[in-house]
Amino acid sequence: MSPSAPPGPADSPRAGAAQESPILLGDVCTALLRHSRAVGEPIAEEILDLAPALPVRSIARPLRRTMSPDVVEGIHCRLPSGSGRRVEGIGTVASRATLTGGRIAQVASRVLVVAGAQGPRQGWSSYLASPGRVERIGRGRSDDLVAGFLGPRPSGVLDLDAVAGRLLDRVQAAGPLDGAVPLRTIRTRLRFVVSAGSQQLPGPPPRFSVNENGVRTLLLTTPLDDPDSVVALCEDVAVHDWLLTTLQRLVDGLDEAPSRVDRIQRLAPAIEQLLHLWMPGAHTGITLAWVWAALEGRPGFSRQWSSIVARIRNELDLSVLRALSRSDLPAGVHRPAGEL
Amino acid sequence: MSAIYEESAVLESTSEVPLAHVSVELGHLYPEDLLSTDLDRFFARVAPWARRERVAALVEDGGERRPRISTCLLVDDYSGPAASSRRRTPAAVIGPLVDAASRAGVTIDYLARESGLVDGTDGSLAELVEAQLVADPPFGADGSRPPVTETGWLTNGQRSPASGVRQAMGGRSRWSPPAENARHLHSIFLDVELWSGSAEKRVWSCSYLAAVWQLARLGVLRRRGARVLEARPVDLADLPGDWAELPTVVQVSRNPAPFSAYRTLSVLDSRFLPVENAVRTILSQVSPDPWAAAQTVRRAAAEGIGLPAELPERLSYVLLGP
Repeated sequence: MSPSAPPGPADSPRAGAAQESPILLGDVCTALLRHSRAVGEPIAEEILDLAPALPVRSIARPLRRTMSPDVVEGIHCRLPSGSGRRVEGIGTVASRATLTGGRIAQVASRVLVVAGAQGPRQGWSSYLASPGRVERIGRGRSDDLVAGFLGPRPSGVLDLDAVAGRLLDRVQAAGPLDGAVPLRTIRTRLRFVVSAGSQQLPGPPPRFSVNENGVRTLLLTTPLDDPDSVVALCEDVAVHDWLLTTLQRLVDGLDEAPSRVDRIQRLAPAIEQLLHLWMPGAHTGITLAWVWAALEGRPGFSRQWSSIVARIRNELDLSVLRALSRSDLPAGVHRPAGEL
Repeated sequence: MSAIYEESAVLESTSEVPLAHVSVELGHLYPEDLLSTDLDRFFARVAPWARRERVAALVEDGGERRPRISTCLLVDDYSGPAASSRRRTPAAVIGPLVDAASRAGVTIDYLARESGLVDGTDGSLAELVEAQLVADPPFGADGSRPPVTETGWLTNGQRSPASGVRQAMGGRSRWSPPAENARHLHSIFLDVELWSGSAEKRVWSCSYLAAVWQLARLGVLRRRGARVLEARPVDLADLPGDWAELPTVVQVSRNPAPFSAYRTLSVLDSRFLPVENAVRTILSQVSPDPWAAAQTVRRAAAEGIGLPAELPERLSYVLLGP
């Protein structure tokens, strides 16, 4: 389902620039849409109409997914550096908002960092001609850039998380949304780093990690000729990570519920609105299916999901049995203590 | 094995538009100018610069084929005195303009009314372009805060801090100069007013609408991927009495080359020099629909013509003294 090739010279460095492979850095924020239920296609299109020149795109199968056009913002600042070196970058961050199943809202902000020309800053239009691309001014190394991006962010350094967070706030504040969320969830953050790999040779396996501060990280090596499909993969991983996080928190908190009725009330919105959204790889292109295969091997997203869903089903079954057994008893007959 | 599954609504696409090689603007006139302007003198001065062989040199395809060149003229019915008794109707303006041009040996292919860029049938193109503005960031723009913009203004650099502000430790802050972001040794700082009035009732500036006009001529405007501003043929003998009833761009010659083009050439009175300088400042901060912009580059390349990706670099000018 990957769209046609992106326009423009996405990763061709300027003449005279050092030939170093580009790196795609990104941040995905994922949250429950601030609405009482899943929104239909017309509302999804209205709230994702963030750039009027371009159409909102959507795909219906196997699960509805609606994508805004890219929203572009200019940056000129220090780039991340693991060694604390002062390396500047100039260009644009491209962000897009996505709705999965009309229910899960995401914003992915990304930059393709390429080696820039040595010398003075160009006119702004030359940077605008390649949305989502940042040129590094002066020398810098890819591994140092990645190390810096994965570490803590000193002030004044590129902040993709803030760009994504602001756009997600804008989506969540859209007029048609009622703000009445049916269950308490958190906003998750997934960072991704994609190094340019070769078309022929398989890259190293993807690395997925969860930091102490809750930030997820996905490291990949794959060709960058179609950044759109790579971003779609990262959004897909982030959606499923968010579903796991949300449902795990829900079942972990079940024992705090004072009564069985409360438990079912807590579970009901998740059962109604979230369980059917689990479809790993549904929106990942064929060329990147190997990433999902690897993630299913370890950490095993679907294994954890099955266990959570089994727990929820057990709760339901127990409640049904209890309700049945209660209704089977003739009026006035007391049930022996300890049953069910 | 997986099937190949595609849905057309997920594929990014944008409408193709017909494109000439060069769009030549013969002038930018106010309806009330036409009372005082000697149209024969006006077109006699413009015509030599609009000659085919001269314009064809801008195409840069080695002169192998017949260049597609279209001409246009913009009538500014927006910033002039509205509903004034001096205001002349389309019927009173367009016929004499077309005749005077043809006496000077130049054909007007398209005529546009500037107010149509704000209230035309395609909706407000001024607002459409505003949503595509991406401000030139000063150093320090790291994404952590929203881009700093002054509502209704666009600059090519960093403004001078407000002078005379009392600082916390006493004393008034000293003046410091503004700076152009892409300066070479020294700055040429420009601050362009995009609109005035209240947010609900905006009056767009001449420079801003001239920038929208250039974008329309470059064929890179789209609304949700669809074409805007298609030229409509009109019957010169049957023109409406009111500018608002006229389509934004009308075709007044037979079988002209397409209205939009890879490049534009504007032959203008030199009083438009500051306006066009502002236009270039605005255009350098327009992030066009990437698919529309790529389409022009791709189609030019298919004709063996190199086209810069940067929009302001597709513009050429001839500025005539009074």
